[in-house]
Amino acid sequence: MAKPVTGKKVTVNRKAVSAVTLIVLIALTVAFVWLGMTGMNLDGQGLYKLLPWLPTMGTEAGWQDALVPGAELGETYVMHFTPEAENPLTGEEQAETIRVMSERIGDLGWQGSRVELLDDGTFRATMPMAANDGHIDHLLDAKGEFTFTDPEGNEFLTGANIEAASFGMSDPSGTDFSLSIAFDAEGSRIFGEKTTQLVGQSITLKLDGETLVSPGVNMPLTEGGVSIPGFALEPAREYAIMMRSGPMPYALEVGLAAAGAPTLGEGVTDRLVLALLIVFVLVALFLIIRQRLGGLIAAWMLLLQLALSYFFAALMGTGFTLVTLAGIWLAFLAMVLGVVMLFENVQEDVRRGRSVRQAVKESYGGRGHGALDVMAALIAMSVMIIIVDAQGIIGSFGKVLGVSLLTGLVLSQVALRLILNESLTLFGDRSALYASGVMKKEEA
Amino acid sequence: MKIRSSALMTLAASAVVVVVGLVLAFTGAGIRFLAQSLQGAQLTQMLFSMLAVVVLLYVLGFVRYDVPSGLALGTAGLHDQLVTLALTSILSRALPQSYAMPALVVASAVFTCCFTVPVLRESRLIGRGMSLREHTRDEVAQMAVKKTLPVLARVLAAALLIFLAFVVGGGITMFGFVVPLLAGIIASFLSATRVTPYVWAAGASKARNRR
Repeated sequence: MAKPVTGKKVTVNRKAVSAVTLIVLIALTVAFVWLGMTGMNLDGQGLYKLLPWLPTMGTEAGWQDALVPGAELGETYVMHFTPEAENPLTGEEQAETIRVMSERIGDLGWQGSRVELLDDGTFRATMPMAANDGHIDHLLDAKGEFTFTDPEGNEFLTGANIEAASFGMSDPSGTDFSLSIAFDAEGSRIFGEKTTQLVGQSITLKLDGETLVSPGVNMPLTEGGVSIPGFALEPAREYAIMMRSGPMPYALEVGLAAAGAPTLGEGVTDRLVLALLIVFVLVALFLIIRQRLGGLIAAWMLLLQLALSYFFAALMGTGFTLVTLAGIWLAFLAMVLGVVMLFENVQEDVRRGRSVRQAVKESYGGRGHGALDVMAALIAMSVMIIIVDAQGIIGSFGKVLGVSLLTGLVLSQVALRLILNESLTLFGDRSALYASGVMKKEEA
Repeated sequence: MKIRSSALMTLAASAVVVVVGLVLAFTGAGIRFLAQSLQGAQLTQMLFSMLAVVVLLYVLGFVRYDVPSGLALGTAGLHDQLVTLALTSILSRALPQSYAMPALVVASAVFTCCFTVPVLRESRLIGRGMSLREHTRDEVAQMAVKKTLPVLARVLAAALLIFLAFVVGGGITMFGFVVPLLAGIIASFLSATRVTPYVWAAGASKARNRR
């Protein structure tokens, strides 16, 4: 005999659950976007702050601290240099000076900077304002000619034999840094021979004739490289950069240094932010007019994708540059494709007599895999280009694109589907709410 | 493998643009930049990335769908990347490029996927439901292009709006900077509607004949 049920049966109001779900998600979205625009103090004293990360118009917004503008879009630092040469530089010397300066600035990560030759034979370097850290002039005015000498002062090796250079911490204290140098074949042979001769003595590393360091030689160094400790952080970084770029024909004298307008002109950031906002509004309006409630939900997901993309770009430190914007907005385009394909399939199925809920389920099933294929292909492509060019511009683009696409994938395939189903439960399965100009036979 | 004549003509026109552009890019004149020339290493990385994208598209198309689709997607990737680089090189004579040019050239693969994948999927879907007695593969490709044109047109409009936003925001200099994006949009839309469906059709017909 079956045991009688003694507990009280609780019925769940499915519509209430859907309403609460939607309200919570809307509130979370509003809070996230609000934080993105205003930031927040994380403690009472204001020592720790969540910086705003969503680009808005006006310079007081503070988002430029999280998304540092590049030279083309933000305030620049303009420096003038005069060559310390008796005679005017030849064309080749001018080109070499520009190359070396550009490489040194680029090595610091300041992409989008410009080095130009002016009519009077001087040079002008335009960099993002953030490059003005008090050390940039040391890096750009030094000739950068490295030499190795023996205890008698005889030069036996120059920077021309240096193939690669880097720096790193010598010990866990973080106060002492080493300069790591790798020589080419010729340099390896000479260095190996010299250190074999000078065991128990010292060699001197000089920069532009000035002694930097004179480490002792404990044993022959025949592996083709050396690691020289005893540097502070900034000098180690500068010397490694100078070794990688090579020397300039002449040292430079720093002249005028002042703030300047963005490379693309004053006010470019505000215009660009407004123009891209208008693009979003137009796309959202199109979706809402065509897809009504479904379009409104899709526009909500697109807004969230943009907000999250900018958030992750700020976290990754990619800056507010052309490359970052291209990555974010191309991922936005891929998500627009996904949404358009989804709703086209829904409309087609509703016209054939299916309910909206069935049409949505079918769209995410077989036919909806088109959007999934596009996004998965693009994510794989992003990973590939990050592998090919991890440290360069293309890799940087790949990182922003990949993260934005992943965000879009989750939002379009999971969140959008969830919210559509909840809205169908709350507002009913009426085709007029989700597509314009489409009516099932029963409704007609 | 016989490809439709209109697709071949489009490919021929693209080939002329590519030859002119690549000759300009890699000999003497070079691509013109606003500040200074691209470093050799950056150009090498761009070429490797372009190659990686093309190989990836072929492999993805083959693994996800079949050989004809892989061939079509790889062809689309190669066509779009080369035409983008060539158009950028030609237009850089009048509109100097920025440091971001290598990334924006490789970015044309985004448009390739957005435009070509929906057409390929539709071609396969229509082709599966039809026998060769009813329609040839070329006709199936044509039907697929016609069916996906509304979706492609909307995505094209969105892409052009984004491009326009950059230009309006940054002026004529920015127009030069984002020329690779415009070139990618044009190349990808052209290949998705006039080339790759017919490459797929030719590949699918050959695969069927072999069976």
